[in-house]
Amino acid sequence: MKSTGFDLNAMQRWLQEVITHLHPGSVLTGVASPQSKALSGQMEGQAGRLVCPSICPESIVMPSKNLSSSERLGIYGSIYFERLVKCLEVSYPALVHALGTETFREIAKKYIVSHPSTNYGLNDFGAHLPNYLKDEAENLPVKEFLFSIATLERTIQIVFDERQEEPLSVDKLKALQAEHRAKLRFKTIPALRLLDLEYPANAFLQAVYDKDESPIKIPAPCKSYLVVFRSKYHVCRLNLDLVRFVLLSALNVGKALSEAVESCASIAENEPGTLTSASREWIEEWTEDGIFYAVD
Amino acid sequence: MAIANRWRLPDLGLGVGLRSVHFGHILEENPAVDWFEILSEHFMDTGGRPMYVLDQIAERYPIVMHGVSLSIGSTDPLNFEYLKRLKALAKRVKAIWLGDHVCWTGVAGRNGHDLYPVPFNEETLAHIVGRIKTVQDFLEQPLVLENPSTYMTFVASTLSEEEFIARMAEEADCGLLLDVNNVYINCRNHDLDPLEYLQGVPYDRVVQIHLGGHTDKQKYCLDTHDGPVSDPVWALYANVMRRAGERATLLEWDDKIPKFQELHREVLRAQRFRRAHVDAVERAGAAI
Repeated sequence: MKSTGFDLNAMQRWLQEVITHLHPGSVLTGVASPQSKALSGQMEGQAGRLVCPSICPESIVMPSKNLSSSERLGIYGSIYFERLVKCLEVSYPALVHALGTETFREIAKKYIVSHPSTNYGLNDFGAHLPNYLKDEAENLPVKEFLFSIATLERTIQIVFDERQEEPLSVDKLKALQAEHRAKLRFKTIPALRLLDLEYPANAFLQAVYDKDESPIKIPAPCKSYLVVFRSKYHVCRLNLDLVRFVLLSALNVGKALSEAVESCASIAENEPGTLTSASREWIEEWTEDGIFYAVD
Repeated sequence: MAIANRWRLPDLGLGVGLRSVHFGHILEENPAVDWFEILSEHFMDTGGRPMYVLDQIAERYPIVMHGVSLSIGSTDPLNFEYLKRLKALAKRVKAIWLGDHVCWTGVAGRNGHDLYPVPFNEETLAHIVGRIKTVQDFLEQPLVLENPSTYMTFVASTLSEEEFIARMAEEADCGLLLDVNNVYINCRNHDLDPLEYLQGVPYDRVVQIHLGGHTDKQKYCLDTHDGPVSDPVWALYANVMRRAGERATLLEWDDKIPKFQELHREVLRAQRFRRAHVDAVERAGAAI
């Protein structure tokens, strides 16, 4: 076998370093990165045709009639950032609206560099963006608002892809004797998440979805609670008051209905008896919405 | 004379890539398309609407799976969790065959979500052949691997692309997906002759053909899949039909996606080239 004696692994790592660290259109940043220099050293140690005193792109990549080696590498660098920025834009339309396209793209590029994809799919690529905005991104105004928006949009993606369970039917609920319901544990469907946010993110998101042409004002801070769930393969968002939120949260972690009612008794203004009867109504409404899939 | 592929995998006719914007139309109208190709990774990790729709479409049409993250050329270990999910999806949708690209998508645990080219030499060949064999053993069926579009070639290459792919297919005993648009793009980008390329393709291993649109950036060609098939690509497709005979052919359209009817009309343009081949065979038969 004719051998070129080169190291495929070192070459791939060098290429990846160059492509994913450059600014779109320029290969120089990537070539000069400490990691790519270290890999260059590693490749110099190999016998064969790739040996080059300073590993310039020309020693790895052939030029074409029209493009230099660096320009050809630059195409991959541009595609890398463009594709991943677009993926984040699709996942976070309200965040794009809140930040403005240019600012969003700048933040997205920094996110891509600090949180490169490690998965075969892109579903979870933007998973860290809410926390990145909160904890890592610099010079951002209204961070908590941006975090609220990003958290809601990320939750929608999670719920969209969650495992399907057939919801509990209203008929099945009605067949359960009312006096026994208090002891039952209502199991929420997998495609359901509860959110406790510092801003009214849901209203902002809806305005973006409605394509309101006028600039949408960033709202004042105000606690908001909602449940995001999937019904008939569509993602739904339902605002909750604090009592409903606490009740549904308690059911969501596996508490029996009576325990769940107890856990929100201290915050409810109603009499205990009123709360119990209200909770029965809410259970029926939530069952109609397809929020439960089983009872134990 | 038509050369059948060696696994006798069927000529499915003319298909299109399944995209979510067309879900509603397909479910309601049952368009007369021969088959659909799905992007495997779009369905491997979802229990939501995409899978619900795909289950229904798979009941009505043949499905072929085409992936972008197998990373057969990477020096990272094979991802068996990925392969397990791929196999499960293939079983669920009764995929007629499944495939990916002759490329790597990342290394050191990362994924660039792009199809990076490999240098065409003996070391890479041995590396990829070994991995294809492992994957085929795991999946219990032949892989159908595509020639990707590329924007660079390597100093370390010692073989031509078509020579590399032909030897890879022979040594690993795998199938090939010949992307005619990519042949055109690569030959433009690397100053090569596409007819010479097509001469080196082992057609008995070609199971499927891809067509698609590209963007001419003057100094190079970009594989954008955002428009109709260009005339030079149709000419190459006609050439392939003459050499290989009818093969399952699919139109890729991933950006600026038109209405389903327009997409379908575009792939049906392939019919005249396929028909020309059949006519030629029939004429030859009549002469005998």
